[in-house]
Amino acid sequence: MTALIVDDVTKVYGEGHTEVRALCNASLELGDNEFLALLGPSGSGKTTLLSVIGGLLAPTSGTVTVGEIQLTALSRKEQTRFRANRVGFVFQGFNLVPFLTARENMTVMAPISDATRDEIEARTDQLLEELGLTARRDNLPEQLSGGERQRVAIGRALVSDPDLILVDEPTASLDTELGTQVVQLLASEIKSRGKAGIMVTHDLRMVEFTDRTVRILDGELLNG
Amino acid sequence: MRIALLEMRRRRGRWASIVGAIAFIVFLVLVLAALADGLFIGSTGALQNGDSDALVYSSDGRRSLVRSELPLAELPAVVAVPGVADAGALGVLLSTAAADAELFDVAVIGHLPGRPGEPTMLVAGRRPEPGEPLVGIADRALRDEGIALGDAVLLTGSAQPVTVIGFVKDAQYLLADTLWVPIETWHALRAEVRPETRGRGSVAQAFPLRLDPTAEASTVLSAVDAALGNSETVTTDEAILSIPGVQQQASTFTAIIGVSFVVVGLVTALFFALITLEKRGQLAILKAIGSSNRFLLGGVITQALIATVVGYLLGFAFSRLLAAALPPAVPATFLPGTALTLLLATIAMGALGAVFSFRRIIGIDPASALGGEA
Repeated sequence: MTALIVDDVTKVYGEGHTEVRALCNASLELGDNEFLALLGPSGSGKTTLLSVIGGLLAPTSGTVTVGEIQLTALSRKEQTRFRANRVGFVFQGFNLVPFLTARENMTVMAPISDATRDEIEARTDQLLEELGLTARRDNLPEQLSGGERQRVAIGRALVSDPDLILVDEPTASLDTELGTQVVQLLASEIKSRGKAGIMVTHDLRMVEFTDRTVRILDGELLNG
Repeated sequence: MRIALLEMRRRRGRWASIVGAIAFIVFLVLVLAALADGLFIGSTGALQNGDSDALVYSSDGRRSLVRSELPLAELPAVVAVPGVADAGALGVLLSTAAADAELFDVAVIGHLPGRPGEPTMLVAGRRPEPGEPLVGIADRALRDEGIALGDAVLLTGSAQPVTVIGFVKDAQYLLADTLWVPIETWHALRAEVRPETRGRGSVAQAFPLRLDPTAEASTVLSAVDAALGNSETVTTDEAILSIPGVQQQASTFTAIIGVSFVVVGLVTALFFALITLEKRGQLAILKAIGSSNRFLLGGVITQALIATVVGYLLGFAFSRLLAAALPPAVPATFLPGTALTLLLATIAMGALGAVFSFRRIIGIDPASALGGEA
């Protein structure tokens, strides 16, 4: 089944002589249980595409459909709810809440998503175990290593059981070895849950853990 | 809300600064309010706690107990006015007195025991009987001067000592301690202490009135003035504000307290503005993962409420410590009603200050969480 359809999406910033076309007629399909690498240099439009797919940015034209939901038809409020329940984000540089423990950084989704606190807590404990963080569950981010922090971020993205996982440069703050381990773990978690995932990266070494690679250059998608 | 509470618990140092600032301002405001209340009661207690709804002055008295003079013989005519439930008499004599050779200022107030105008808050002893000679009840501030029940107080210039048979509270006049005596004793003392008043007959300086609860006050007051022909009758509240300096004093303190509350609002607004700026990245992440503006604003309001309530409680505790250490001569009165009003005002100003960060929070773009901008 198709998890995501990006249809002829264009995103333009500014107007007149300051106009910048960040995305040009981008189209993409992603199946369930598919993990895709979006590869491109800085400024190629990959983060813009990720933002549009994640309901963080409205496209200038075109449509984005996640499962049965057409994102471009949602109100701001509905988009917020969509992000809380249907999409999991893994950000560049971990971006954990600094005063919350590893476990609390994952249960932070409890009041946000539609799942009950009990459900979120049960999934959190399971994810902590799968991600090898049980012993570190009560540590604050500053007490965790870079790899551990990124694993907590992966846990947070998965805890609300979303259909689509969006990952932004997960290795940007990690050394090669740690980066490889984290992406491997990420791929395994996404695949074992049968989810769809897109990973933005400019690191060619990471594409081996994905099912497919799509390149982006100057806002245009180049398949293959 | 849980996140907001955890943030306050885990970053106590940061929150201590705003709580400390609020506590300091609350402390200042409570002390100022206590001084304002103390001065107000000290200046007006004799009228405020005198169980009356209105006061009749002579028309040339300009609402002043000292300047006004009314013949006591006119009292039955006042009582006969429809809507007047009862009337009393008041006379004031500002003097110095001695007990055990210790001199102190005193306002001797003549009154009719059991009638409107007598002090209501008896705290020890008993009241004089109507016409009982040379006995009086004293404001309990005189107890702090060392006067006890049964002591004799001798006014300067008088040869007739007055025996203290009871104590009342909050019955001062123009910041002087009061000694309440039957009007006949007051006449006798005044004639001795102020010889120039001899031969003026049986007079009072004002008639305090209690009105029928169902009567229209303004109609009754006009009827009293019409019946006497030479009087000005005002409500007790108006009479209190006519005491020299009271209105100015009250408005000065109100202005200072008002400005202090604006400062509470500004301090909270500035704190939340800075903290929101600092947490911009974190807020963008929370928005990106699906936190609504309502959820984030709820957290801010919760934090503002907790900071202001804790700050208030600390400020309140410090003000109570100061109250315990203040000498009795300082006119500071800590009233529960004032404390409650100030608590509500502090919470309101704290919340209002926090509301100023709302626009900033709403304006945070969740998309900035991606691309390493957050």
